Amino acid sequence: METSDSEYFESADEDLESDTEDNTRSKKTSNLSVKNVEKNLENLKIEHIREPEQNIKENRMEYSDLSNTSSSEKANPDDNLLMKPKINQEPINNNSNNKEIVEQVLKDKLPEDHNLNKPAIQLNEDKSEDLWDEDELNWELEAAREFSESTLKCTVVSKNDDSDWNDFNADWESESPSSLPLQEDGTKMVQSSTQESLWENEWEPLEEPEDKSIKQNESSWGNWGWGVSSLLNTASSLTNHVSQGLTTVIESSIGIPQPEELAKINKELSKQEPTEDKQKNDNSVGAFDLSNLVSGVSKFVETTGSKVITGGLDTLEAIGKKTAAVIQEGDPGLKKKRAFLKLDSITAKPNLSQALREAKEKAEEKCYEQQLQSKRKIKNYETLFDDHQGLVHLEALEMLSKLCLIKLDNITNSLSGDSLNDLQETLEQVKELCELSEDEEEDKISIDQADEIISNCVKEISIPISYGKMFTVCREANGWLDNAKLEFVDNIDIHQQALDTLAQITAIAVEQFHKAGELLLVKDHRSTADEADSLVQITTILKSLILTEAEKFTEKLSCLKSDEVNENITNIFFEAGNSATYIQDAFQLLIPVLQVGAV
Amino acid sequence: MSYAYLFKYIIIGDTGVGKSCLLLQFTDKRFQPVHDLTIGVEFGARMITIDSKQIKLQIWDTAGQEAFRSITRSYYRGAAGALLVYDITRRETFNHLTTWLDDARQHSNSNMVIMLIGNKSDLESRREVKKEEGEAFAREHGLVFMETSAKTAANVEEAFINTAKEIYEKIQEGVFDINNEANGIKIGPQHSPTNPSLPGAASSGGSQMSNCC
Repeated sequence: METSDSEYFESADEDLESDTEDNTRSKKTSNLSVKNVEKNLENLKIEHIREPEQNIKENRMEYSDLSNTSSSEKANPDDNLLMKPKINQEPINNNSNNKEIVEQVLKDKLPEDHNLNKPAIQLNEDKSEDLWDEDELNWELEAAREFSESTLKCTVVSKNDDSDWNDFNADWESESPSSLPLQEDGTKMVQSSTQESLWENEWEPLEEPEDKSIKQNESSWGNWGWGVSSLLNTASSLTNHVSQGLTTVIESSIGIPQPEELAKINKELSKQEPTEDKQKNDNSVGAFDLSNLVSGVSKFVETTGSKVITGGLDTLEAIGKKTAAVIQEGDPGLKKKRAFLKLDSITAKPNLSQALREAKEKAEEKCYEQQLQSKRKIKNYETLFDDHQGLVHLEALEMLSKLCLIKLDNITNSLSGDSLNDLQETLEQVKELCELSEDEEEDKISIDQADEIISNCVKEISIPISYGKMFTVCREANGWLDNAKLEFVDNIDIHQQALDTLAQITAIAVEQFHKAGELLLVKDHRSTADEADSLVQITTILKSLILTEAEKFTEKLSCLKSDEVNENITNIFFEAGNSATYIQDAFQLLIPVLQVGAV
Repeated sequence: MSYAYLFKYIIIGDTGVGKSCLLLQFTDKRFQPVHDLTIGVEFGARMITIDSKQIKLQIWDTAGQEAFRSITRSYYRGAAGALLVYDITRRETFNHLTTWLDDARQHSNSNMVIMLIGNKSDLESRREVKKEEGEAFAREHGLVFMETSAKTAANVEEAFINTAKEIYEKIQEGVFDINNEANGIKIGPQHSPTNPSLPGAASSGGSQMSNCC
């Protein structure tokens, strides 16, 4: 490696150090303030269900309170939003009439929607009471709240002309296709009321948190598809899932402004008024047409409200309950998960390796009890994965990935204008190259086939990694299965052998991804496209291979006649699913490595 | 398998000084005269017992080659102990110690226990660095010092275990915050502190299938 490069890494390292220090310092304070906000929001929500109208004035006060109490900027992306009403409080009086009209209309349109809202809220409250301490829930709720605010913004934005409309459309579309009809309404609005520059300025600060929340949500989708069954052990997806779950709940109430949102709509309205007056004087575009807004809001409520009915709250409720059940499975009181979430709250997605380590501890405990009963040596998947050095390779791969992310950040920060755009485009392209096909029909694959394809892929990227050890494991496992006479081996033997094989394949897969990352970073001539292509193929093949192996073991197991067989068959598929996820996650960690090679 | 603590170690030093051989001797009790160059980092693990507590040593054996320096540096984070190795038959590996030491101090936590190791003590006839020089360097920089031979296994066990003892003492003194994983110490599963029925796990190489759960 050239000197310049290693210097780069060095400075990146330093950054990392200061980064983490800062984070730990700020975490506590931000936690506190978020907690306050949350508490207030919770109160608002509950109060509003009872008396939506009366509380609105009170709310305004509470909101301005909130803006005082929240001190940390990052943790409260909606500070801006909260501050604004306060600043604009004086002219508000003029608008009390308008406000009342909106209120009235909304109220007229809302009664049934309010009822709909309740189950969703109920679900939220259940969660916070039974499963989570308030502070653990904070960051989840925050994301959820951000989302609900973006929904609110959308409501308001759609009634006004906003130069960001197109961008917003795109986001909106990707987020919830069910609300598409709304855009048509919105577009009409845009045509009827043309107000420009000032609005843009007014709204700009609000866009930021919204974008963030949408990105967050999008990333959650990736893991969601994989299913609830992996939830327990894949705590990395666990957090995503949970936030996803909450988001879904919030989403369900998409068109129905929740009580506190109603309050905010009012505030937004009053806030808009002064700006609008100015504009009137400046260029006589015409008064802000309140009736447009009102009809827009009510239409919005109408269309989306009915969507929610058809969408079925039952489903959402079921998902919520299922999620809660799965999360709690094997972890009563959620002690481990709580601790886990607290550790990395707010900042980032928790490490997979850390999650696995905790899962391992938990499984060991269970295993220990089982052993006492059966007097046999039983190992769980996580322990086996650790024994085969999978866990530590994963941890190292995470460090490597982080190193690359920091390097990329440094480059990004040093650029501006066109070169920055070019860079971001390149990064995005690399990411796209690394997208795994979503085909769920994973084909079975023979070991020889897999061996051949993977060897070719490795040749393509010309780095000395090898999956030979892994294929030896597969062949030995098959040999063991062929020779295992049912008179001599039992359910437990086969199950143990299956877990060991899966854990070993996964560990080697992770190890080779880690090695690939290291070797690519010190390689002179990089070819990102080939690297991505080969690694994507390898990942796909590995996933198929895992499934194939799992099936071989379960076939053998099903030859046995015993009550415990079914349980073990399920467990083997469960762990095979986990294995596939670990492999896929390890591959995702390589993306920054590829990106570094491309810039 | 159940351990009271897990300590993360790193082994650092110039290429060819015998880092991987030291690890292999410690975990597997064998010596391989010809060793492939380490890529990035390799791992080893072993259980030891200190103060009748099971401690798992998780050892990160880094590549000594210059090309990997920037990568291996990123692995220093969160190490509780470091073995800084030089070759007593190659003066330049001793001369580079300061660079390694600065690097290690800069990229890991300040409480990390560093053990200076002069390896290949079996090759007395080719010695280029006197034992006293190693001792002086260690004294000057506040390190623990030992000469070892990965080939004959002399002092290998001691080097790893003494480092662990030092870390353990620091924990007892409260120097290390064991709840902060950035210190390279993890607390083991809580359920069964020590299980007398399990065979002494210290003897089996952790990287292989150790026969306990």
